[in-house]
Amino acid sequence: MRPPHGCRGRIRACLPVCLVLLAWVLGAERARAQLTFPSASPVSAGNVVVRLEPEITTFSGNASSAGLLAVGLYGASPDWTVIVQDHTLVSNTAPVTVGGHTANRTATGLGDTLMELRYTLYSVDDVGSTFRIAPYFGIFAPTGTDNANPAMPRGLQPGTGAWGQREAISATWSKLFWNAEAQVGYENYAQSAGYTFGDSFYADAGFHYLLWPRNLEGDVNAEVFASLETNYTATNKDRMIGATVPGSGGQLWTADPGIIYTTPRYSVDATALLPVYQHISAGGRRYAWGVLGLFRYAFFTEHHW
Amino acid sequence: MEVDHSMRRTANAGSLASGRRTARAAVLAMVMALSAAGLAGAPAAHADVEAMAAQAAPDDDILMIVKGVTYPFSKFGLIRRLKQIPSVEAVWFDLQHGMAHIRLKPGGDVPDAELRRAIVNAAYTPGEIFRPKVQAGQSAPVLR
Repeated sequence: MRPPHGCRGRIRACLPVCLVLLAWVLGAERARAQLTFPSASPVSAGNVVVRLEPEITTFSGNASSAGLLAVGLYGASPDWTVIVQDHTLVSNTAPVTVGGHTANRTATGLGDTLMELRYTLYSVDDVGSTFRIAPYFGIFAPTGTDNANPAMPRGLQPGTGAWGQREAISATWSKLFWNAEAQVGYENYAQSAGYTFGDSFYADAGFHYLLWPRNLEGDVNAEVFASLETNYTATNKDRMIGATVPGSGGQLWTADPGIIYTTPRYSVDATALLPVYQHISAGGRRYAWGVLGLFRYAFFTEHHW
Repeated sequence: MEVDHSMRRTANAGSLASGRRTARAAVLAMVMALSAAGLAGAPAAHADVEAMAAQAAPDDDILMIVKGVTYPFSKFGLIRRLKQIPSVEAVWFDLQHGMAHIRLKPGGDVPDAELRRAIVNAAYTPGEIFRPKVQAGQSAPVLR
């Protein structure tokens, strides 16, 4: 469905001020999924894990993005995991110029949904150790609101309005006192209403180190890890009605120090998202910082393949 | 094979009067042998192994090596899978030694194949299964 002419006119009017930044915001949002990226860790057949991830990202110039991501994982078999990620709430705020008047505006609504399958392609287990490789195959469904605030450009609406796909491969090497993870992936979107988001390549890595307890004798039921993860995203320029959207795309590299508290039934994590390198042409606006929380709870069902 | 020799030495010592003490000594020997063989990851201190053996008080308990479990959150699916077996009363897991401690209901039993299937469904790799119970007329504990 194409937007009405009036809407398109408003979008064009505010492009010089905010579209660059807004595409940037969305690009950064798409770069992150879990804390801060999906792993190849084992999921038992029949296990259901529900995860809630509140996140706030801020930019210079009073722009920000806040959201709540809800994730459900189901261990369909020892090797296959079904994952549904839903941006339950997305709220993007940025200064937008319409008719020569600049004001902070907000678009709040439902975000898109990502449906994924994960397959454990390779695994080597030993006592207190596992190494696994798992590719992901995902489809973005445009379940979000792509016209929550008509005064704001397409790039800042909570939903993209477009179908997309995501392919990634993750590797996890986990030991009793530390674990290391890495992922590379690619995602792209189909054209929707004349707008095509730029495709993205991303690479992530993480290292977690056990802080407490130092003695793992007996039935240990709680652990605290220090976490350091990093995310790199390179996004191509968006295109609107065949033309390149000025200032969209670019590169962002973040370092994410955090902490993880985990028990057999649940875990609570928090991490900061700090820029290490950014290369964008967003009119002087820059990614400032972000924070991401994560609450994870496990259920069990007898049912599996 | 080192495991068998260790167990045979334990069983031939003949100094343990009761079956329970024999079973505990056998658990001790088995865990030490597994550690020496590198199957139990980091070498376990002697006192640690004794503590594990002491935990294996009821003779009906089963000890099972499970590979791939590295932190508490990953224990959940494993323990719940094992608890789905009707004759299993309780399960706890020692991360350091990769050892599932399975307590059976009174008079209950479970085949090795069912234990291994539960571990595979939990997305981990089953290892050695040790049953410290000394059957009547049997001179050594059963390692399968």
